[in-house]
Formats: sequence, structure tokens, C-alpha cells
Amino acid sequence: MLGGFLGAGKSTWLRHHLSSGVFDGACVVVNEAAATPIDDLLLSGAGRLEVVAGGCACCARKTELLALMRQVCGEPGSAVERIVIETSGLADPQAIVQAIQDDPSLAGAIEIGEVVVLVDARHGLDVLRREALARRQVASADCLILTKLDAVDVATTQRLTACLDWLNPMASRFGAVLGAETALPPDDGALAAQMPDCMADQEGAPLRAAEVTLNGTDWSMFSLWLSALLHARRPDIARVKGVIGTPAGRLLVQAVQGAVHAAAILPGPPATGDGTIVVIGRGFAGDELQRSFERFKTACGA
Amino acid sequence: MCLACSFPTADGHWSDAGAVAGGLGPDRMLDLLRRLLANESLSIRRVAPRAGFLVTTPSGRAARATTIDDVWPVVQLLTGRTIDPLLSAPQRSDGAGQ
Repeated sequence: MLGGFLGAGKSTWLRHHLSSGVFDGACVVVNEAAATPIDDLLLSGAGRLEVVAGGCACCARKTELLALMRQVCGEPGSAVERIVIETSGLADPQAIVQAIQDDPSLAGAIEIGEVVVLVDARHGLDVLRREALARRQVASADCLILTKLDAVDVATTQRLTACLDWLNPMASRFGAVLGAETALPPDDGALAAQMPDCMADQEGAPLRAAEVTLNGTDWSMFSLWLSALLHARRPDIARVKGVIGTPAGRLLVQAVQGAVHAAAILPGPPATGDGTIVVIGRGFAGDELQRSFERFKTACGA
Repeated sequence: MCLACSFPTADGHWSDAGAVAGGLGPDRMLDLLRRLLANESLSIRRVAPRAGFLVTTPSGRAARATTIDDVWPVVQLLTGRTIDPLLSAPQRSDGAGQ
């Protein structure tokens, strides 16, 4: 079970491990909160890839996940020995473990190996302070992997580690950069386990996924809208992800906690889902985001 | 960097990624910004190639934005308002920032 908050680097980590053969022969199940899946486009190395999209597998799509698990386990002559579930960034891995263990036909067929939870070293402290869900994800882990270690200094990593010590001292811990394992800074014991500076049990409105369809809108128009949106609503936009066809190629656009990553250039011809941008955050609902995009285009005379 | 599994990334500011070298990307971006900021009674021009933008009020107050991500705080500085795509279309506000 591979979990972690939005933008923690789950797909990058999984892509690296698929590429290196660690999960050869495994059935990979990708769960996405949004109706239009993106991550499956990035996991071409999987031998068998299944997608559960449109909600978290711990709640809204629990029934679909369990049905898929039964199907995989029940196939005559199935050669699947391992299943890797990449949860959505809004899912509680422990709730999925519990659902599998509570299912009479799965309890004897599936042995839960390990719950691996990824924590973004760059934004982790801030996310753990603000999001109770992220703290629950960390608490549910058998193994914690601190990602994007190359983007932070040692002091930041040590503060995050002290926080993780408080939330889940039992979990084993590793570091990663672009999916590849890397050493964590040595723990000199200078910082004691420390509760994240969170607002007790305060939890904001639930994060929701919305989609914007570009309908052929050009890159300049889209990037202008996204840039303005992230400036105005930075605290409320947890994640942006999508693939856009441009004259420069198919670009994977990603933003985590308001910061836009350098666009990755994807190989291959246009695919279903290109031109649909998933935005996960608070303060907007339903088609409000799409209307915002159309209105912004009008304001730009586009 | 793991060459086996990572995708190449575009150089420069993220918003430059979709433009082909020698294409219309930078001009198109400036054209869109010009029309958007006219709603705020602001004008915008490029300072020099790759040197960012200069945003100016009708009274001549000006501030520089290095990338499009810097344009919004500059607009805020000059007009006291935030362009929020989720609220409504930017409203014309003659004399703002004077």
C-alpha cells in the first residue's frame, strides 16, 4: 500500500520502482480522487495496471476497490502474487487496510505486506501542521519515505524528522530523490520528537477534486489563468495535475501547495485525458473552476 | 537523477514550457496580459527580451515583474486589489493606483 498526501511524490516513487523491476509481475492499482485519472499515463512500466478513479478508495470508491481486488484474486490461474495499491492523496491507507481485512473473501486471500507513506520534505511540515488527514496517513505507515530531499536543507529535514518521530516513532524511515533511495541526514539527537505545530483538532473544509477542460485553449492562456489562480488562492489549492498538448509536446503540469514544478515533457501521441486539468483544494465547488477559466479567457479577450 | 524513469523537463520558467523557440508564445502571453490588465487600467510591456515586464498605472507609477507569477503581486501593489479568477472577471476601475 503506497500512500501519502497530495504531491508527496507517490507516482514518481512508483515509476522508479517499476522501472527498476522491484514490482515485476505485480498488479498495480492506481486510485485517484479525480474522475479523470492522470497517474496511469505515468506508469507505463506496470505489467498490469488497474485504475479506480473518481474518489478515494477508503470511502467513495471503497466498493469498487474491493470488487477489483476480488476479481484479481479470483481469476482462474491468476499469476498475480503481489498487488501494489497507490492510494489517492486524500485517502487514509489504514481505512483501506481495514476494508480489505474486513472483507470475508479477501481476508484469506490477501496478506497486507507493508503500508508505505511518502512525505514531501519540502512541504511536509506545513502540510502536517494544517491537515489532520496527512497526520493520519503518517500514523498509519509501517515505512515512511521522505521525498524531494534534494530540495531542502538538513535543518528542515531534521525538523520534519522530529515531527514524524512524534507522530509515528515505530515506522522505518528512508529518504528518496526522484524515487531513488537516498540517505537521510544523520540524526544527531539534537531535536526531540516534536508534535507538529498544528491547530489541535481543527480541520478545514474537506479538500475536493475539480476538473477544468481546456477544449483546445492554448498554453499561454492556460498558464496565465493558473498563475493568477495560484497567487490568489495559494493556501486553498493543494494540488494541480494534468497533461496538456502544446507545440512543444505533451506537457505534464504539476503544482504542489501552490508551487508549480518545471513541466515534464511526456513521450507518445495524445492520449485520453490530455487537456483535462485536475485541481484539488478548497473554496470552489462543482463547475465553478471551469466557469472561472471561461470568464478569465473572456477578460483576456481570448 | 534517475535517467531510467524520469521524464525530461522544460528549461526556464514553467510558463515558458509550452512555447516553441522562435514561436509566438512570448508575444501571445504579452498580448493576453495587456488585455487583462486594461480591465484594471494598467498597461504592461516587456522591459527587454527575457527581462520581464513593466506594469504601469495611468499616473505613471510602475513596477517590474520578472515572470508572470510576479505580475499579480505587482498588480496588487499598484491597485490594492487582487485579480482572483474564482471571484469574477476583473472589474474596470479607472484611476486605480493614482
